[in-house]
Amino acid sequence: MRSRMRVALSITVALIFAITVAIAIVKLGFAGPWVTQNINLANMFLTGVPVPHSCCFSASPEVVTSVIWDERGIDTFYETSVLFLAIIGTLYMLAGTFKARPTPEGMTVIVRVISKLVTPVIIVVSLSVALHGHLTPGGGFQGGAIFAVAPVLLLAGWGSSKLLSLGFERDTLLSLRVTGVLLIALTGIGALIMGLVKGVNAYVFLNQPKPQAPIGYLGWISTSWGNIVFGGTLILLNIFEFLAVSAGFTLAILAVDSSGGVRKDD
Amino acid sequence: MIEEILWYYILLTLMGLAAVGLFGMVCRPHMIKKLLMLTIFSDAIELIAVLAGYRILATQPPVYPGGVIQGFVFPNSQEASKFANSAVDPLPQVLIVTAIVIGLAVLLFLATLASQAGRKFGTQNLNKIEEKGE
Repeated sequence: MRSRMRVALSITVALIFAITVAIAIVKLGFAGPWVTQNINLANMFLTGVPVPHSCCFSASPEVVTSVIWDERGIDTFYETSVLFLAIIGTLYMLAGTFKARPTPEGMTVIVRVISKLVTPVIIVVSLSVALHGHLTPGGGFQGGAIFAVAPVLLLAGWGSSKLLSLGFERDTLLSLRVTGVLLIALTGIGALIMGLVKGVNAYVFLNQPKPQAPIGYLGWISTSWGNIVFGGTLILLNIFEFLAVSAGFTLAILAVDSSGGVRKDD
Repeated sequence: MIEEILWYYILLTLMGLAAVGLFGMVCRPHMIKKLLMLTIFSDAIELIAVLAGYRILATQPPVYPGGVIQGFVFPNSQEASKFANSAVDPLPQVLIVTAIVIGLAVLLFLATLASQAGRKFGTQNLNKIEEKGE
């Protein structure tokens, strides 16, 4: 009986989904893949983000990262907070279930050698993705998620004692995580504080000077052979997000690995 | 022509994948299978959104090709509008990055809940847990 109800429920939800997609295709002018132009909002960002003195200049050629950290920076900050809260909730649920694992548990020598060889490459790739996030596709979150693969490999190949010997302690990772989120928030209100000190208009998560707000972060340096682009807040926020996400995921993986048993109800 | 057929083929495949994910999420009683289906469902929806931003006439990603090797030169407005005509829509990609992060956070939390439930009840099958409760 119950399974029949479940099937009926799933068919209903699938029907609602299909009808929504059909309405979107028919009513909202879904034109297929041969569209000649993007929508107006997309054109505003594409023509504005790389052009100096435009409405939404971000001092960066990468439109996606610019929109993520500049035009909707507060939203991305709250998204980081959601990830932060999820990891805090995971740690809370697993608190009191941690057990020490004194003996090293690992796999065969093949896995150990390969994971030892691959781990530095993964870390270099993650750093490159995070630090070039304002120039090429990528960013802090993507880099941090790539970085978190390295501890997983070490954990599977060598056991948690190897990670602990490399300095991946739970308290260190938690403080790195908190520091990352705090620095993101401080970068966000940095322009506002500067505006209050100088007595001019400024906004939260302001990157480059706007017509109403004449202050901003350092966007680029002009040299004789071209500009070196920083993207203002973009590079700072990418680095801090990388710190927060990589430490958070490593922490969650370590916590899930070292927990055993059920949390006692208080 | 072949691009259009491929485009609609990918769209239909992704919609089928979303339907499979939805079905499994509702009908499978095992928690881990529900989580797997949740990821399949959300990935299919995210790919549909990215596909909606794609157009065949666009020839480059939304990254301004300003000579990264020889030092970046900021464009003027004519160059930027030429770039906007040949780049894909960046907004779905922007929204989907956020959706991926939130999905990962939710998945982490749910996986921990599932592992705790498995340790407490001895099984992760919801039907068996309900039988134990009755």
